[in-house]
Amino acid sequence: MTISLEETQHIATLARIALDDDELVTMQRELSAIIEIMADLRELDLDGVPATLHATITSCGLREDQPRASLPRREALAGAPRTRDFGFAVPKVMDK
Amino acid sequence: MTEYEAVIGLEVHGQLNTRTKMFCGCSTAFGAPPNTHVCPVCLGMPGALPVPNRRAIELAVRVGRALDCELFATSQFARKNYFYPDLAKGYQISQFELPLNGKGELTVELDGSPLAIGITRIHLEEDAAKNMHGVGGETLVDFNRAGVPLMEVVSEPDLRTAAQAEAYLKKLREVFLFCGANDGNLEEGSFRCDANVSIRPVGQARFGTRVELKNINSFRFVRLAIEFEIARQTALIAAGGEVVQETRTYSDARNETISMRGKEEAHDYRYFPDPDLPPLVLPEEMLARVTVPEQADAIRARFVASGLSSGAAMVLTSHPAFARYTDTVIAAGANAKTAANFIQAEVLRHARTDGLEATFPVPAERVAELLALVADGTINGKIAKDVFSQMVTSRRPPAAIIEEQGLAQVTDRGAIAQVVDQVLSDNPSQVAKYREGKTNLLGFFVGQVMKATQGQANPKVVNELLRERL
Repeated sequence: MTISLEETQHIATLARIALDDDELVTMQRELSAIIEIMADLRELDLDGVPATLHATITSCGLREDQPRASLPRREALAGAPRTRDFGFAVPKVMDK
Repeated sequence: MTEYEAVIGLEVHGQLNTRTKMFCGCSTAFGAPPNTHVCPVCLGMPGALPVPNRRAIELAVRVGRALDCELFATSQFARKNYFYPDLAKGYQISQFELPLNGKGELTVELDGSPLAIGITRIHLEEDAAKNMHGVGGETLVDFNRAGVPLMEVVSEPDLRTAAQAEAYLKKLREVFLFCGANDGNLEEGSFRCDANVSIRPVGQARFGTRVELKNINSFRFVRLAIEFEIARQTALIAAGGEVVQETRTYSDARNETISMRGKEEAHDYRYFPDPDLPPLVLPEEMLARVTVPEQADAIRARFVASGLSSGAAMVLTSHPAFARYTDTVIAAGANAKTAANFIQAEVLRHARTDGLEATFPVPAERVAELLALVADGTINGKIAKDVFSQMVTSRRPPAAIIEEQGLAQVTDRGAIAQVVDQVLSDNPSQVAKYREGKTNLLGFFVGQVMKATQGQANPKVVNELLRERL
């Protein structure tokens, strides 16, 4: 295995995904397999090959600084589980 | 006893002065009702694609050039992943491996000598939403600020004292303002500073464990927070303890720093290139077009060379609009020193600044007209102040006000001589005292003549006539 169970658990915690013991082992095996494929690249001589920054497009388009209509607030809030005073209501958080 | 020194690096987030957000066309106007400047892009809805704002990039290029940064023609946006309610997508679009600007330098003046502070990088990113505290223990999230364009300027750990840090921040704010890139408003949070502070024994090359100070909203508090933190860490280490790597904030009420979160939540942002955003390749035409406007130091030097005191040059470059106003008055023909004095004493009392904008009570061209009327002897300096007050309220040109109210200076020697004679015959005892040697009574006579002429007599002629007769 390229990555340990502890590392798998750490990634799951950062991603806020709860895994039971069996799922953790499965995830460890599958993540390891992905990383091992990437490791194959190490065997190639890539000196002088520029890094690929994007799979398809070589540079991104730019947008002029012109305001466009925003969503009506009712629509913006429509998908929220809870709203209050025109805000998205979430459990209390500490200020960062 | 071991001597310690502080090592300080600063991270400044400046909101770029654009009309729209970094990756969508929603307005960046401050103070709108909650969740009215939002769209599928800045709300992180599935399938919405970000497109970078050209203006934001230009402004960050301009600041990079002002700070002599290495400019990267190709940079890249990356995802910085973390979970928080103010981040709808679960990641912030930032730049990581390939920022827009690399190493640069900012020179500050401290106690009369220059100090060069290294800049590590300047990168582009988007702001997070704002959390508001609702009733009943809920947090309410307003996404108007989400996606607002920011530039983050990271300094090298070159600073050693709180005073140096404060000087650096003030200078950086000045560069932002004179680039027209950021309004430098600490209170509204469009200019935000985080400080990394550590200490080490003098002579040790390795850095000590650093503490990050966050959310400090005034220059004075930055200085106080860093001073407190240096003292706290020094005492801790001198007593045999260890500094814990953590984030702390500053409480001005208590004048101390307070721990915000511990090591167990140490950040692991798992940056990776954003697949929604291909590499940012700066267009040639943009590189050719974006230039750095004249900076405050250069304007000050120019003002001093034209005869202004360094104090006056400082005041008149405290805001870019003040400098432009002064330049306009001088360009319209006013003497530089006279213009500077009048603008400082009269105009700035009525001027109001709002971010990068400023409003003046009277257009610069009108002030130049008024000063020309003083220069050619039509009115004297004292009357000019009265005329200016009326210009502020009536918005009328100075010549019209002078004409209408007959304020033109009396330079006719015959007319003034009549008043002088009258004043002398009305005050025989003062005349006698003057002739006995109390020559400082001259001022009294001048005052009487000016009073009798409602201040319109040419003071030079009054003085001459009084001396002749006394």
